[in-house]
Amino acid sequence: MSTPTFKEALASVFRPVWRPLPAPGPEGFIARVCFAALALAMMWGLKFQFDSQDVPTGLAHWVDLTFLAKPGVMPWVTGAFAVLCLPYIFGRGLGVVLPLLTLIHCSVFAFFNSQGYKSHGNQIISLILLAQTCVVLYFAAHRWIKGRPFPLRAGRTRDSYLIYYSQVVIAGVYMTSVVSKMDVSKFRWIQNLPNMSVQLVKTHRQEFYSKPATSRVARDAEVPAARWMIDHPHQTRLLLGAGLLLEALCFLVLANRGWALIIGLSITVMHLIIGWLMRLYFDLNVYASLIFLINVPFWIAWGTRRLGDLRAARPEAEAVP
Amino acid sequence: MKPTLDPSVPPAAPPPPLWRRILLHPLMAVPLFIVITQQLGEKGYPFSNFPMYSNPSEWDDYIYLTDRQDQPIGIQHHVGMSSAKLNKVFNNTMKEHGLRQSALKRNAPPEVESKVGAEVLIKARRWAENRRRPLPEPVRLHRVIIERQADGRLTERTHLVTEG
Repeated sequence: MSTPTFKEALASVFRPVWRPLPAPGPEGFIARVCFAALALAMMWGLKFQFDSQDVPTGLAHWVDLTFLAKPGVMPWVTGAFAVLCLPYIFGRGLGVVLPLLTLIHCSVFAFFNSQGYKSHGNQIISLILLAQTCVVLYFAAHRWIKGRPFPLRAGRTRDSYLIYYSQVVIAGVYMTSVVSKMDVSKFRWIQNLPNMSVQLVKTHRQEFYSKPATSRVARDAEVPAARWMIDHPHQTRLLLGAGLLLEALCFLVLANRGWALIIGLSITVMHLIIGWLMRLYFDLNVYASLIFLINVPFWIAWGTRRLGDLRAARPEAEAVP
Repeated sequence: MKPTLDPSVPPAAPPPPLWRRILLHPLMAVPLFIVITQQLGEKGYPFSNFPMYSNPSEWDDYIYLTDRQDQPIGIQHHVGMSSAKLNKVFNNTMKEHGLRQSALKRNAPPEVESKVGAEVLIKARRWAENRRRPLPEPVRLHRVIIERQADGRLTERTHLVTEG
């Protein structure tokens, strides 16, 4: 069998599949290690100053979550989360472990978000945990109802589905944001973009008033980007409109690894620009993209394999007169 | 070659109909996700319709806290949240007081605004005390309205909402 050329190998990673892909070797394990570390890092040291849930959301509608604010409770909750992360990382007992991890994460951050503000930071983590829970419960239900394991396609494993539905969440998060923008603005979002200059000033001021003693932004400092937006409305629409287009195209991450890489890198760049411009940081979205879309371990393995192929092919080429 | 019919081999099941294949395709999880998030909005954590910056308007507001000498107070240090989050609490309290629409919020009656400010200050004080980083006495809550004028200028109007 002849070795594929680099071009052929590259074409294979851009072949549209739109379904879970094989997750060879330690890919699933590495993704679980990174994701567990990310989720745990956000819980670590979390303490609540709140003693009520005035504007309940999610589980807080039905359960009084104020017990989480009692002294000494959060270290135990975080400890339990950390312990459960271990079997999750090793892929053991996921049918029990994942629902528990999801329940803890959703309870903690539902309480956090029930104080009259909505913080979207940890939402993507909770949603990925929820999606992965749905996958393992579906697999378990299939085995229980039909009496046989879920029929996996050739080369696919449970990890293929865990990764795929995590990507579904990432794509869904950005695409639903596009729908909201169109819905709330009555399709005038692009037209209204020069008004973003107002928000730019606001986010700069808010950064100062959050930490006046240490802020890198001065109290009434000029915001040059806001001025530029007002002076260049068409360029603003073009620049920020590209972000909207990227969000709308996020479904492409489900086509294949090639598009997942391109969209993942683009999302990262978009968030870096937003961070620089608006001082709004979506670190968790960037890390989720890094783990499930950019997927560095896969590309290292892929590159190493291609290099090996090239080395193997070279003596043959040299032998041909 | 003519295929032989082996009675021991069960006949292959016919492929499912097209509509079923489309409906059960893994990709359909994306529209399902969008429908759920749009329906639940912000009330069903972990779901959200992610409405941030969905309608950039020509005005917006923010709040900040100062001491009696109008020196800014570190909201993050005392209250344990960013100024942006405390502003959301303020805006949410505005909504609870019937100021839902943009124009109403922009030109909120001073007495309602002051009531809202007082409620937010009570919460902020409680949260700061729970963190053992109490706010000084008294605290002034200021509100700033940023507006993009027709001539392209950006203006900031600051006023004192409440003191307590």
